[in-house]
Amino acid sequence: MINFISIQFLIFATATLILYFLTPIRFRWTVLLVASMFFYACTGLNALIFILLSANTAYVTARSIEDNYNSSTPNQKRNLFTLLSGITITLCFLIYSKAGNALASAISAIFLAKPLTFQVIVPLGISYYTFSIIGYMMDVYRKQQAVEHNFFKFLLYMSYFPQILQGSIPRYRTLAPQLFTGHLFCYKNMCYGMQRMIWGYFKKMVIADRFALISSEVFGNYDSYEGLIFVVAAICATIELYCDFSGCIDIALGFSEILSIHLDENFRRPFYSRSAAEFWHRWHITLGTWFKDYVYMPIVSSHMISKLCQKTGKLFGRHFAKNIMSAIPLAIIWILTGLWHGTGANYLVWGCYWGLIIIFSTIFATDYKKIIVKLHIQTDSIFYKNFQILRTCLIYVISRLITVPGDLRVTWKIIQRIFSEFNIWIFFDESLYHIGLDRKDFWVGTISVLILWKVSSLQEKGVKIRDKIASYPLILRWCIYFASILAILIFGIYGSKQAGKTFIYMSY
Amino acid sequence: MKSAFQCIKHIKTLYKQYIKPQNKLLKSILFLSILAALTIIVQNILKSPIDGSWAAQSGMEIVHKYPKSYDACFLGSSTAISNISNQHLYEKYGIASVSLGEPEQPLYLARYTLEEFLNYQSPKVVFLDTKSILYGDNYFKSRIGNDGNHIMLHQSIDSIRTYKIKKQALKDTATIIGDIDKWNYYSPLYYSHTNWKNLSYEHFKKPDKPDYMNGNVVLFNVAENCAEIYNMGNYNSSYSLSPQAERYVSEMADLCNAAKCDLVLVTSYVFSNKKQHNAIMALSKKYQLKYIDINEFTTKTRFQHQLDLADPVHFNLSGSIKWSDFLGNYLQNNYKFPDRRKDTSYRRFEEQKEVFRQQKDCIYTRQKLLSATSFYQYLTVLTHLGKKDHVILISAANSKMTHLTKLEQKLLSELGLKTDLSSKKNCGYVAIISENGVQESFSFLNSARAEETLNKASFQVISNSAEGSEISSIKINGQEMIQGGNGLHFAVYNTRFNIVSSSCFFDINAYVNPAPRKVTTAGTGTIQYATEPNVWKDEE
Repeated sequence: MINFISIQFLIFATATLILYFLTPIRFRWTVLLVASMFFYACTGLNALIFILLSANTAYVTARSIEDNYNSSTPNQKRNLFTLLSGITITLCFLIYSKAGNALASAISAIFLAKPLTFQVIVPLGISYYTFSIIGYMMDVYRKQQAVEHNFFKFLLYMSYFPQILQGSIPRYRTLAPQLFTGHLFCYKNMCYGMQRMIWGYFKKMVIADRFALISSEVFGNYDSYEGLIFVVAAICATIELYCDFSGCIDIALGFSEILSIHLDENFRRPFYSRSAAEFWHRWHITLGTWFKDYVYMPIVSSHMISKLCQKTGKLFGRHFAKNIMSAIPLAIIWILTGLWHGTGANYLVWGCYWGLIIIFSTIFATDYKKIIVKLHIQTDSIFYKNFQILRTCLIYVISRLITVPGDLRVTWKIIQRIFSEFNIWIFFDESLYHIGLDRKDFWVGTISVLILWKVSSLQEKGVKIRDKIASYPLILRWCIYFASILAILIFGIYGSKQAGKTFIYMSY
Repeated sequence: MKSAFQCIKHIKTLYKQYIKPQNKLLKSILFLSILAALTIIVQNILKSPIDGSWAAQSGMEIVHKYPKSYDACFLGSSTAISNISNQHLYEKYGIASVSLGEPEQPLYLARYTLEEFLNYQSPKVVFLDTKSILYGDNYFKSRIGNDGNHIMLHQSIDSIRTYKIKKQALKDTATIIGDIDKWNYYSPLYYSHTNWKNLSYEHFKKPDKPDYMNGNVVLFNVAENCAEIYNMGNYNSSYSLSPQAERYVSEMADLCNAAKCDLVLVTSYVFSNKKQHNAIMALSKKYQLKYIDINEFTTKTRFQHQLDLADPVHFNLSGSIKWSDFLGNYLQNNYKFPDRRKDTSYRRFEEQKEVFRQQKDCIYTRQKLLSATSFYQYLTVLTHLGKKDHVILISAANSKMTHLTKLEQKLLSELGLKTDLSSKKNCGYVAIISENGVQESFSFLNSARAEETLNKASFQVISNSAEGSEISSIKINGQEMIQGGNGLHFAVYNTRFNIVSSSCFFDINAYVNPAPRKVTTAGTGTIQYATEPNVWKDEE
């Protein structure tokens, strides 16, 4: 498999870029298709079959819906049936790859004497492209999207390699036109794209993989640690996940930018969020908007929910009905979000955890405001803003404790061990240098996080970092580039001595 | 400061004049060139901390640097690096040779090293150390398995420049040890970037003198306890030659035939046994190769196991000189070499003459000090030591000096000691003799101590007294060299090569002209020198 963090990828990406710009403009999309297929084939031919089957399903579904609409007697029920069939088939592929083993063991436990075992194929990025094509089919059904008649172009939309690893989840109407229109080489885009890629590599290789050493050491050997060490490890796991995921997205966005293709942003400095709901508007944005458009809105506007509201309104009052109206779709979305991340019980609990926080904060929002007014708290003060930011960060760090250990029983043990000892001295007695990173590595990681924080805070204030760098004199600009690249080459976690981890969201 | 501004101004003018008007391609090329240059600089800086004492001696660097200049080369494991002295072969026989071995170099890597060597050189003889032939594939796999950093592999493979050879070497490596990350071997930075943690100021300094001696590692140690060597003599592990070993020997023979040079198998370690010898002999006959085993020539080489071994496997410089003498004679008798000493293009050997002389001086001094069987002999050796390169440390223990003779006192005076020890009793006494002069400290009934720092080495000498509670000891760089003996403690430190040449005590409290003794741990015990020659350990 070609990983973004490999010399093979750099060679592959360079070759793709050269070929792309050497090919006549109207055929440039074919270069991307061939490159994507090659990239995907490197993960295994079985996975390639899966993506072709999924693409074919969505393509046929969309064409059937279109044919029906274009017929003299359009049949909405038939279209709905076609749509549901298409979604069911593509979801079957997803369920097979995500829960194949769990289902097999459950079936064999009930019906068979011998346990049923088989090798489940997990195609790369199946969660991302499945959601993309479900969105596409639904848009076609809603007549919000014209049908793509060229199967290969549709296949390119699905399999565009920079985003197949970890998303984002693209919309056909925003991505496809950019993919199929050949772009001219733009020097500025190349510079900006490379800057973004370098920033992504920095986040992944210098920060994420460095802090991963702490989280894997502590959570992997949780019996050996206690107290605040777990808090430190959970914070490290949070930094790791953010830098890993957003780093990969930066690389994908940066590479696409060189091609003058602008992908959807997936992050907007989530750790500056003042509430859990805002956090999810800034973290994995495309997943959130997908759920909003294709799950939340259909549920909210469904007759069933309306009827339920009417009934509960009559029984318990309007206020209660309104709460039910918002709580049910949110609960469904968060359970689905949990299951999208993984089929284990820990992911279900994780989904419920976020769902409950967001539902309760929605239901009690007015009461909360009243309390703030009574206490005369200035909501615009820096103190209060920082308090809200810290509170959101804390909520996220706790959520990492649910998923990182991999088992709810381990999570429970860890929570017990956190409160077993208040060992605050770990911050002064060099204990932190013995939990996966030595002193020098620890400080490189810390300084890198401070750089990340500074950049994020400038962006949050509206400063466009790349424009700012572009305005510097050439020597200074180049010094920044050289320093960044050399920092990755020297301090990055890679090679046989310090093998970095694969991207976390690749497994989703 | 002014010139710096002018320089920046000049660069700015050049940029405006030439680069700005040109297209962006030029700018990109310039950017990539500077980046490549910076990467190479960083790569070279980060490479140095992994170079240990053995790895730094990679002979392949000089093979690339001086093409078509070597008459012979030595391939194989660590014994091919330490047990031969290329400088001696040059100085005495005018032969230019180089060692291309690496510690535990497996045969297949010796084969690819040879191919790379023959791409650059036209030697007449290639010596292959037989230890490499005896390593089984499993042995190598287990060693690499323990060494996650694959340093052993790097030492051989990194120095191969020819892409085709390197690729094949990596392919064979993958066959033997399984999956490997090949980028480690094509990009040094990929492998050594983690060394930023080990960087110190020293790594940025250019070495004063070349730190290699034609691929040799020079060992100064003298294996004092030969009993260990005899244990190693019963080397019982399997040595049946694998088909792979035969394959590579045959390929090496073919390479040498094609290059019109001879492949000679050499066993240059002294714990071989008959079975191994016979197996190699059979192999050499099969491929019509010459075979020389040092164990058959111990008398001829005048090899002394108690003095010429650095450890049970490796020769010290003295041993390597003896073995080089033997091989030098063999080469002179069987081949015709031009005398490289008359060739000005071999100046690099001439430049190393002085260092080599000092190295020989160091090892021979050490041997003499260890060979001294009495206090008088020991003092005689000390009086002949060059004070520029040595520090002599003395501390008295439980001093009564009852049996110190006038002759011995005279020799002590010759060393520069002003205190007449023969008349002293119940006192603490220490002395440090160095190029800075003589530092003595004497204290009646009380302890005495002296400290000195020289060339980054620190010395601490303590002497107890009749009433003092301290123990007499000599510490060098914080490490205890000798402690708790009786009479006079001695330690000799070579400041040129930073090694302890001798540490022992002479119990002149109890004996006249006593033998040297060494306190090993808490108790006392004399050094046991083996007197028997090494003999074949025939297992039948």
